[in-house]
Amino acid sequence: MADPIWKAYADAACTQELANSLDLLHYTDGSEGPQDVVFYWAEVISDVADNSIHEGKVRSDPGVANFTFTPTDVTPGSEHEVTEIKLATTLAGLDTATAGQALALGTVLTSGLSGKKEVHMRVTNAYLVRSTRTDLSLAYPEILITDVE
Amino acid sequence: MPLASRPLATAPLAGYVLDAIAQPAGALVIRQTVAAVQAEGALALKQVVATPQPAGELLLYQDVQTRYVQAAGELVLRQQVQKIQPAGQLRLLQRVIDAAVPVAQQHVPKCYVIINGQPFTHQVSLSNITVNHAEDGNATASFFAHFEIDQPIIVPAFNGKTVEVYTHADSPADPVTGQRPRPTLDNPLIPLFTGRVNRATHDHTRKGIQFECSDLRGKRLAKEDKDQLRALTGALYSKVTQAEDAEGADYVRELMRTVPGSLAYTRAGDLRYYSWGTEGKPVDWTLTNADVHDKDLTTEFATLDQIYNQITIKLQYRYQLLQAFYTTVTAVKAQQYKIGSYYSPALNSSVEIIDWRVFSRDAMVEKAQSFSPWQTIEYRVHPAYAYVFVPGQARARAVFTALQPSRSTGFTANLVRNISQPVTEDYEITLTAPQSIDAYGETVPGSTLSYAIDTEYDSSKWETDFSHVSAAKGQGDTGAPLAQRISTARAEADNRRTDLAEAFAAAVAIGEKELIKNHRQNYVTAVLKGRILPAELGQVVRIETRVPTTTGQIVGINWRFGDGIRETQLRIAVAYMDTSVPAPVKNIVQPAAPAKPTTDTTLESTAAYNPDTKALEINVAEIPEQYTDERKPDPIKTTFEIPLEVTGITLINGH
Repeated sequence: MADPIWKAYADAACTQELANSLDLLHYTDGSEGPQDVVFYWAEVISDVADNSIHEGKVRSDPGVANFTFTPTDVTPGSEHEVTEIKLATTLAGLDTATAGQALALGTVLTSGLSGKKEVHMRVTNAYLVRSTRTDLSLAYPEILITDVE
Repeated sequence: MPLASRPLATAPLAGYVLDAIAQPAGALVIRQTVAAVQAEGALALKQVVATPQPAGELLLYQDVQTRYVQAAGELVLRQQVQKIQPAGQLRLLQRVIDAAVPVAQQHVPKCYVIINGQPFTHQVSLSNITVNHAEDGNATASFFAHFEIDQPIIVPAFNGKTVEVYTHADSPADPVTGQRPRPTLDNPLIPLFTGRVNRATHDHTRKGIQFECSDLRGKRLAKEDKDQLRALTGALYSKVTQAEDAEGADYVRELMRTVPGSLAYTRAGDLRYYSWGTEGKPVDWTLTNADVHDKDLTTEFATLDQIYNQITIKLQYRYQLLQAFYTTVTAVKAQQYKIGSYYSPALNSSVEIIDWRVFSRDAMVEKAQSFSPWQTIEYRVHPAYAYVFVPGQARARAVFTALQPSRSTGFTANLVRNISQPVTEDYEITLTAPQSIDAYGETVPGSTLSYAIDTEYDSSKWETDFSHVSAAKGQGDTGAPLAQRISTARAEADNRRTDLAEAFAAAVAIGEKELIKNHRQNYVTAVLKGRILPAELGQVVRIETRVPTTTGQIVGINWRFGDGIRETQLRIAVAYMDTSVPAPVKNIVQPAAPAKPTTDTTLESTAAYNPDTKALEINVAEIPEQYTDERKPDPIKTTFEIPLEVTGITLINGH
């Protein structure tokens, strides 16, 4: 059996892994408006049969700390900023989400397709200079993976 | 005859009293054990009380013990294997383009190069960028990057850094003209390469660094989970046909010998397996005259010296046949043994000369147990009697009176001897490709694959250490019933049948892959100018052009960017032979093993009293050579037909 590993998928069936980089096209006048992206965070590599055989917890404080996606910026204060990103577990939740704030997905992740976590992201570009940048990302913490007994 | 059913005469011989069977020296002790079983962790009182025997011929033995026994318990170790998934990130590639200028008029970078997660495109010379993917090889990317003059460059800092190469997808073809407009900035980005900087070389004259990048396929595969690779590929692994205990890259190489397919990393860097061949697969890309010019198409066919269509597999299985030989030795002298006679004038009759000798009972007991390497299973000693002569009318006659406890006339012993006979089974499996034999007009033998399996059973465990006396606690004797212990020993001496089955399956798979690979060496190469085809290795391509028409599988992709150059070169493998012989149905079944010879044999022994030497002469059966020399059953020869994919290919001359 393959080692368990959580990955981001572009489809709800978790068959298409998300590309290394989420390609977002903006215009210098911001005319594209907010862009919504949805992806699914799941462990379907080892738990193909969807039997919830593994659990994932945040390694720093297992079972207590929330697993989060946190908007990060390698050049804070210049160019793109984390406030361009909103995260929510539902599309509707994006409307009330706080820009730049981390999204908590719970203290325990469960393997298998049924354990997938749906993540909605809204990117509203605020850097209106012609450029190609990879400043922003969604960071996630170390995961402690154990077998479910 | 199985030992358990071997009869030993239980009725006294006529005129004799049956002696005790195998009575050991010393005392007989009856021990009664009463043990109170208590809950786990408690102390248990175990009382052993020996019951005294009545006065008589049995020695009294008394043993009264009182001791405390702590019941067995256990400390349970709770072991859990944990895995750490490193922290990571999902990166956003944000491109901001000029809203004031129509997209079609904006400059479009030929490629986007990202090194270590940071955009690097602005430094890359766009005059010569190549990305190459080849079957069973590393994917590579090559480009030159300029650096600021008079500034330090730390070349080694680039080594091992991640590299991604993207480009814009082609624009859709105009439905009327078939022409494709050049890509624009709003076309989606497609990954072409994901890997690492393998070599960064400073070029002083060009004032920059030449980057050679690789997806390090071999090294990455070596780190992949073994089980995942097996599940992904369906490949087999036998420690007989493949390197035993192979790890890393060696394991992957050995594993992939058994499956006609290839492992690769995609353009985006994900692990992928594809089987060889096009049958039953959808066509991923169709290339027509509009896609590729006649001049950019080349075709090459396998040469005759590359072809072979028969593979021989030799499998040898060596094990030990554990045989048991049984015999009974009856060595008895008649107590009143006539050795001759003479005429007595006094009696006026014939007088018999009688040998009245008998043996020491101890000597008979010792002898009955001294037939090494035969084991004595059981024995009995024949009694001897005192006698007196009773006067008769013509002569005195002997009358037996009392048993002589220390004397004996002989013994009967049941013996067994263990022989561990090496047996070598030879399997010769021939794989042939009848379509190829028809196409090339002859059978062309290829390599011979030879493998051997040996159970490496230590014969002394059976021949020396194994005891047929159940009560004995010899080496390897677990106290289990004899039949069960024999069965266990025999299974151990022939314990690699599973390995044989796995080796057979793997060897056939290796041979089959060799044949398929051998007939997949026809290639069509096509260059698509002005196009970047986001293809992957293993995808199926249908070529319908004025020159060749065929279907094949991508085994090589080369993307090239330069001044005025944006093109894709595909190398497509085509399985082709000139034959109308239909593909045989693959029906491979492991041949049955030769029948095993009998393992329990009864042999005859002889014994007789020799009055000249006054001794019992015993001839214990000899084990015939056929049971001791290595046994080699007739080789089992099997032929299997391997179907090959034959794809039609049409070449039109004159264009």
